[in-house]
Amino acid sequence: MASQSIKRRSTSEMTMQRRNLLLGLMFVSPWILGFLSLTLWPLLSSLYFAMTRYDLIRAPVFIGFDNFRELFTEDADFGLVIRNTLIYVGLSAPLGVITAFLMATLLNTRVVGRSWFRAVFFFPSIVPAVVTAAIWQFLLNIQYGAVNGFLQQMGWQTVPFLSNPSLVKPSLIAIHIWAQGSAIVIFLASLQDVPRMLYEAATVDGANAWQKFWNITLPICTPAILYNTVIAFIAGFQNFTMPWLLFGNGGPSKSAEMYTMFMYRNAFTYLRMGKASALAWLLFIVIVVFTVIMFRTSARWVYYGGEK
Amino acid sequence: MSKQISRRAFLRVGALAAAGATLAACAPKAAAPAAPAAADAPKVEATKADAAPAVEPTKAPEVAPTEAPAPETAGALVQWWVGWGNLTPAVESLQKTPEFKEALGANTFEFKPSVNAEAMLTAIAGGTPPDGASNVDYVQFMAKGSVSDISDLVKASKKLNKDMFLPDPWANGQWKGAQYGLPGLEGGPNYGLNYNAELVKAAGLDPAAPPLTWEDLLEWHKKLTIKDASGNLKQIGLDPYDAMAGEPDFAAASYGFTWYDEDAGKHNINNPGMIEHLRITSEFIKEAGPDQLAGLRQVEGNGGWGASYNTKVQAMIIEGYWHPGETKIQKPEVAVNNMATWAPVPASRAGKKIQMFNAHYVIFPKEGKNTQGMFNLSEFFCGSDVAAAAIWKEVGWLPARASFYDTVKSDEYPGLKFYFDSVKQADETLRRPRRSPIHWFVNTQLGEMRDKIARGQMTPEDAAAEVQKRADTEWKNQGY
Repeated sequence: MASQSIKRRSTSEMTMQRRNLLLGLMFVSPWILGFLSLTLWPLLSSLYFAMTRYDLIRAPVFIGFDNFRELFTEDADFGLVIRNTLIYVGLSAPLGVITAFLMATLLNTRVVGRSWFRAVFFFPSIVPAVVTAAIWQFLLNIQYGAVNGFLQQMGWQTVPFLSNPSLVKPSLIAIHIWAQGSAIVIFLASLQDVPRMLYEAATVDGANAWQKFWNITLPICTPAILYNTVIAFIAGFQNFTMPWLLFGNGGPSKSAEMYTMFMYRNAFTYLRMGKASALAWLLFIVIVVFTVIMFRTSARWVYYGGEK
Repeated sequence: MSKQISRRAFLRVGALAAAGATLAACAPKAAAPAAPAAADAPKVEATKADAAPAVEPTKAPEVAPTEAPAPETAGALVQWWVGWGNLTPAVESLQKTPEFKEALGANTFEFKPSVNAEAMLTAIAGGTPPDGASNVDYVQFMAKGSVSDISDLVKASKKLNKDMFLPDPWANGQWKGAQYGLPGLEGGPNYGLNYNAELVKAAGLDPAAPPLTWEDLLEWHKKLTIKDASGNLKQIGLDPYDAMAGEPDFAAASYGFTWYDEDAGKHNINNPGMIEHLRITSEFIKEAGPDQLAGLRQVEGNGGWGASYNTKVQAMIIEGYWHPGETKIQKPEVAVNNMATWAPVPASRAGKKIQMFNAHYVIFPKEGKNTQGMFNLSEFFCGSDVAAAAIWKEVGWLPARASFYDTVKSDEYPGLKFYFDSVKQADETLRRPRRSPIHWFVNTQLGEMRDKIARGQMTPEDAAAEVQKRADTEWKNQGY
């Protein structure tokens, strides 16, 4: 009798668990459906399309790895956009992170008007990219820009920031460095988590400001530095909006043609969706490899607290 | 009587409702009823573009809007997407006319201007295209088989026929012998050197003796290009790649070669004409300064097609017949000084009068739900004088119909007369312009090369050879 009761209770619990499972699945089903149809399916489709000649209108034709072969052996622009992108990423990501960290460190001190400065530094992050592009265009343009207007007033030579191939990428990097509000906020949060007692102990031990910064602040903020660095590199590789808005045609001598612009142009101007998919997968692989390397090497320089 | 709902029951019902709502939201919209096709209409013989005679304004039968039969479709939506925005005022005013209402019948009309190429492309690729599309890259859609052959519809039409239209615009609406594009929204002579007589006089030049060769044009350019003490441009003579001059078709027409052979599917870019064109146009850029010219064109207001002519920053521009009308509508104070003459040719071809006749079309995506409804409206927009008059007045465009040309005063806008006269006076007419499906690819490559030539990083010979190589590779890889 007792065993029957236990069995009934057990069956009832099983039914309840199944119901809960079903109920839970139903609640998450919109996300699951969205993920399957809007993320996973396009992702797998693009892998297939990367091996096809596909112009979006006619049916795709399977061509194996020809799109990849074309990129590496025939496409004159592929090397150019890789070079442009690597220069941009290689300089903008570390310089952006360093700038953001230094700004956050300054904002973490008891400077007068700290809240105002925080708002000012964060402001560029919430300005729409189109507005940012227009502002920089009117600041840096050689003909009508405010900066060149000032240089001209001072009797100095004007600088073709946005119209000379050698200055286009440095200008884009400068614009990137200007908009570091999000990274600054993350660094600020990290800086405020540094235990005060460590600084007090260091003071007692006679450490100067630089020693405190180098031996306490910096190590404790390394997780945030890692995060911001990885995000900055990924965003750098995917950089599209600003160069597209400023140089939709690729800029002088295609000096501003970034990888994603080239991908977009192939997809929607030349209708080479297969080739664009191949480009997307190559970019994906580069980003994954880079991120894995960053995380693998992070054990050497990122301090997560606790004993090793 | 009260009935309590348990938390679990509430959650279950809530989840079901949410899932149902999500599914309902994902369901496609009910399609509008398909229009019956004019199935009985006999097929029209393909018009051979090569056989098209030089443009002669011929009298077309006057179209009486009231004679038109009511549209065959009833109660369906007709969608027309247009890539540019300048037709909007004309289309808005035309929707109030009885002729439009008659053409629309019981259908409803949705006009969407300024639709970008990507939106158009994805709609067509996704199987939800509009019923009609205009101001788009027609050749791409024709070559890829995504638009309907309208030969049968034209044959069955009581309002339109091939003879109403200028021969070249009609022929350019074809691909491999089939008619895909219906001209008439806009069409006419595309090449002319427009110049601002006020600026020309101020530079000490004679507006009555304009340059006709590239070499003479370069001299005008030098005199019309004004810089400040820092070397920045206050005014330029001519950006040799602005407006109509920016495409390989123009280089080909000016230097007398064919850059794309549609029948053979071959590009001819690495030739002496293109090399010479690249060389002389780079002189224009060097004179202005590559950095300064790029900077000038990057700025809002001076960057768009022909915009710097309207701001009086550019003194000359190579443009089509629409330029006088558009300038009058947009900038009357500039238009009053507009004059036009033949587009330049090299000294070795001095005396040649080149012209090209092209048009904008309505094309009909294959999966459009109401092709017949859109065709009925296109008969009105492309074939009726009521529509042509409104478009002429509001936009400055003429239809590609000779009969309407006869109704317009050729001196209505300053500079317009040249274009009218050029119809009869041109001795070289470019046929089948902009017909390469990789046109935009070639154009992008040329843009890079001409910048490099102007900066001394490349010779014109190397540039032409490089673009030829890239075009051949792209052609092969696109599977043509």
